[in-house]
Order: sequence, then structure tokens, then C-alpha cells
Amino acid sequence: MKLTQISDKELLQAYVHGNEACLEMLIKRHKRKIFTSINLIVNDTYIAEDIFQETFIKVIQTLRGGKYKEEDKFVPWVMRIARNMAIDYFRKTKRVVMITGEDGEDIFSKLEICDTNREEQIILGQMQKSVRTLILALPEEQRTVLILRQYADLSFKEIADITHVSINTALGRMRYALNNLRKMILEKELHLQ
Amino acid sequence: MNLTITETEVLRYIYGDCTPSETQAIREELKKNLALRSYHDRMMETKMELDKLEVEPNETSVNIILEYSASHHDSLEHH
Repeated sequence: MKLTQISDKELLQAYVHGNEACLEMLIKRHKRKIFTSINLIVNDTYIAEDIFQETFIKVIQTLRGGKYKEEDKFVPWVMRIARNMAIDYFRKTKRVVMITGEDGEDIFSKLEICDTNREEQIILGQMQKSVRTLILALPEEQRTVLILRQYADLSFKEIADITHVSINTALGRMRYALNNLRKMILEKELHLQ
Repeated sequence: MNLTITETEVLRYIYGDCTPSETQAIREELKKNLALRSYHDRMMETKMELDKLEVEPNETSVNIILEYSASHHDSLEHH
């Protein structure tokens, strides 16, 4: 059986039963989307590396502790852990101004994006940097939906659940996000294929 | 099927959020609705720019996670 034919659920079950290689397969399969999302949330590659590690260590502890609910899809579950890790980090370092959503609940979309300019240390091309800057310039609500849909690959239903809004609201925010990004890309005369 | 195809449906289609029957209906609509087709193409272009932004974690981070898992295998196995 090819790796792509094995579901996340099957890999998780095999890992819990002692097959270490299955964890590596899961990480290999999803590391880009999870890391990119974390990186855009915290806007710092080094912090993102730390949170990525801490997130998976929490994943391991939860799986081995038998606390994982099988009805949870793997990536949304990992992203929820990553969000909490990011919030904890900003709380500890007092780098957050407000972490409150519309309904008063914590959501990582309210994380203050720090202005520390470490871009030069980040290995990204100029185009990537520009698009990244544009994403960070989006209103928080739009940015959150965009990151979760585009990079974390969550469905609009899953995004609606996480951010405590209706699917239509999540979809509306995504539409605005893409429209605004496109406008900014054209204004900045960045390359569009 | 009775699905009103709007830009929102096209967005769901672009991101693979539609059922097979919705997908089919949207594809049919895109063939004949030039305004929606234009919206689809513009959003696809934008999405492709966003796709370029994906980055990977350092290999060291992945190794730290795998080493943690291997080193805690025995102690956690008895849960």
C-alpha cells in the first residue's frame, strides 16, 4: 500500500500501538501546512520552530496518554494545539496586547503581530516576503480565515467552529481577504501568474 | 440540483469544499457564466501566489520531535 493511501487515522492508530515510523509519516505529510500557519501567526521563524516542536510533543503526549478523540480530524486538532501554544507563548513573554474574540473568547487571530524585523534572517524569497507582508496587513478576522483555509487546510466548517462564527461569515471573510490581497498585489505590482 | 452559484460557491469550489454534485453544478455554471469564470480565474491566480508562501520547518525540529517520541516510548507505553 502506498503512503498516500494510508489515512491519518490509520497512521495515528498504528503510532499509538508502537509504530514510531507512522509519526514521521504524519509529520512529513502535514509539516508544511502546519508550520506555515504557525509561522504566519507568530511572524517569527524561530518562535515558529519552537511552537512547532512543542505542538508535536503535546500531540505525542496526548496520543500516548490515550486522550485523543478519534472523531477529531488530525490537522484541525493539531492546529488547535498550535493556537493554544502560540497564545501561551505570547502570554508568557507579554508580547500580546489583546487575545479576545468578538464573543469574548480567546482566539489566536487577535494576537498582536510583533513588528520585530527579523525578515532578513528568514530564508524566503523577495516575492514570498512581499506576499507575507500583505497577509499581515489584512484585518485580523480576514487573516485568520485565510491562514486556516489556505495554509492549515481546514474546511470552512472547521474554521467556523474554531472561530465561533457561522460558515457564511467565515466564507465572507475569506472572500474579502482574497479580494483585498489581490488588490494589494496589483497595487504593489507584484507578479501574478 | 437547485444550487444558486455565486462567488461564494466558486470560492468553496476553488478550495475543494464542495460535494461532488455541487462541484459538477459549479463546473457547468463556469462554462456559461463569464462573470463567474472571470472571478474564478482571478481568485485562482491569487491562490497560486499564496501557494508560493509555504515553508517547511527546519529538519532539526522534526528530528527533535521524533527523538522525543522514541525516547519516551517505553515510559508512555504503559498508559
